[in-house]
Amino acid sequence: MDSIPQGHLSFERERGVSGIEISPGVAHLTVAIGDGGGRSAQLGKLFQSLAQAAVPIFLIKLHATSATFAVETASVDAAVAAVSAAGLNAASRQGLALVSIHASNVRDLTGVMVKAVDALHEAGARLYGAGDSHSSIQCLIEGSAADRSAARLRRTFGLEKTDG
Amino acid sequence: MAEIVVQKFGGTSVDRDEHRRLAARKVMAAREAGMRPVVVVSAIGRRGAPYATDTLRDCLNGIDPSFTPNLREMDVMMACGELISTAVMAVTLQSMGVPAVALSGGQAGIETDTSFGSARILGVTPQAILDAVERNEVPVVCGFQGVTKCGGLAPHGDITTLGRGGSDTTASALGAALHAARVEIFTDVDGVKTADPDMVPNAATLDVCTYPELFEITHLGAQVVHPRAAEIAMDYGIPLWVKSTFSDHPGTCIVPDGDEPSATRSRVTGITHSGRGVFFRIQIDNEAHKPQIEQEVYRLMGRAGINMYMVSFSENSLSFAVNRDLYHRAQDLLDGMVVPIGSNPNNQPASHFYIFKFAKGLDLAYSAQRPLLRPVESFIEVVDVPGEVFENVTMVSVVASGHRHTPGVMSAIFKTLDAAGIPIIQVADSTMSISCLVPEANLEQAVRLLHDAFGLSGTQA
Repeated sequence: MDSIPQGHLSFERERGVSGIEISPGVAHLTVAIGDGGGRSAQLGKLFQSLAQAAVPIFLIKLHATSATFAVETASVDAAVAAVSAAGLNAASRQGLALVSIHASNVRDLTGVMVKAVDALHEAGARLYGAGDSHSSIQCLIEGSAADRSAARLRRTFGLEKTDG
Repeated sequence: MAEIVVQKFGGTSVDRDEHRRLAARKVMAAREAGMRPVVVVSAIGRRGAPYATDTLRDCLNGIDPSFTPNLREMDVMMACGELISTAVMAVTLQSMGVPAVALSGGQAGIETDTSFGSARILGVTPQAILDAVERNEVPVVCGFQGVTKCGGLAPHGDITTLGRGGSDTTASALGAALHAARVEIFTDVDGVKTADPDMVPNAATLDVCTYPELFEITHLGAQVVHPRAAEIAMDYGIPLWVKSTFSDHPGTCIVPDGDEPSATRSRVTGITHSGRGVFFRIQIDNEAHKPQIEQEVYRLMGRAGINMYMVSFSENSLSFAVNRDLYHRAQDLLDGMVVPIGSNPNNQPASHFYIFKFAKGLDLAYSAQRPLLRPVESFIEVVDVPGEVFENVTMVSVVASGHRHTPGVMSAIFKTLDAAGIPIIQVADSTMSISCLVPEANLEQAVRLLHDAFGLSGTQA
């Protein structure tokens, strides 16, 4: 039995927010979409045009009169051209950063969103977009506010010593 | 020294004698292959079965419907399900000529924190298991439970349960503590499927799946193995298998990211579905005041313990989903809510009152409160914040590793659902998936269409 540890082993991960990650160089595009009968045709053209132009998109959101998504800064021109090719107009906001707040099963944790928004507000960052998955909450803010926002978020979630 | 394999059998694998004997044969096959099996079992059956976890919980809850049982006593009750299952399985093995010994979570050395009902494993001291293995016996360990550290008010430790996915977590924890050659999760399907086989009968079984893919699939609704268990197996580098108790299919091997066959990289892994939700969309036209109003919504929901997901906002709207069982609480909180805002954040008194108003029939509090604000309208601007509610929505997800570098996945999803007239109410994406909120009535159709659209029926890789 010498290959088997005889002692005490501890391993299950800590729960709650485990890390803050900043991804700079992000742009946010807003595309006006009609809310009438042509809405789904317009959305279909938009996504098809972006696919044909080989533009990867993320943070995709559908709103009553618009669709928004994010692209890496390097893809902004191609994205705007693809939107135009679909017969639509895009407004882009550049120089943004994506702040990801990582937590396993974050959708089952109460209050992470409010703490994150409060922390970003205290750091003077404006939120231009948000998204969530099972493992993270993503917030789109000005790139110039990224570092102080990350520091404030780390303080809020008690990660100052464990997360660089 | 033969290698240890941890074999976990879920509730449907131990719910009747015939199934337990099939499970026992898997244990015997491992021994015949020269392995030393350590067995973990769940409680017998599902809600309604006499010793199922939910049945035991209902038993305490039924004592007095107006009284909420203490979590500590609830854990004592719920732990009985696995204790019974463990004894039954051990005796089944013994009756088939396999020496076996039943162990509770505490006897197996599983120590947890004191979060009754959802305890976290702090450590494992597996001496009793090792002693049994040394005696050539099969330890049959209760899943889902442990004990708190001895001392203070609990000189012998308190019984705890691990919450959702507890038995899978026990199996992986033992696998880590015992340096097992592998952990095998036995269930009632052949392995990780490309979709829920109840909705897509021709869903394929994946031969190989990476841990990130598994996390995504399980978090988004597939219930083959709990993500907590997968996290431990990944962190400790233990090979994890998902197999069926009822077939000889080899199952799905879960491998670290990077160890998968190249054919499986940047692929669409599967279609999942999860949750029963309600979607709120709130229109806030004053862009300058919008961040403060949003903040109040987040705070209100946070204070009420309501988790919001699929959160998004445009220049004039905020939208989010909540679980359907929290719908009425969320709507009660929002309907008629008044947010006072100054002309600048530090200015008092308020210059604007924003009052939330839902569609007719859902605006009871608004209708009562709005007239009360009339006297202040001469010096404070009172603004209605209209809200829409989409009831009966659910989430269908395309799990696609590397989709952020593979243009066209969203286009294919939209084209497929739109062609069938299935509205996409909202979208959420992660690095591994794109999820769409759709009406629940369209769920099965959406899953089947997307499964076909991404050509998953024949997938075996």
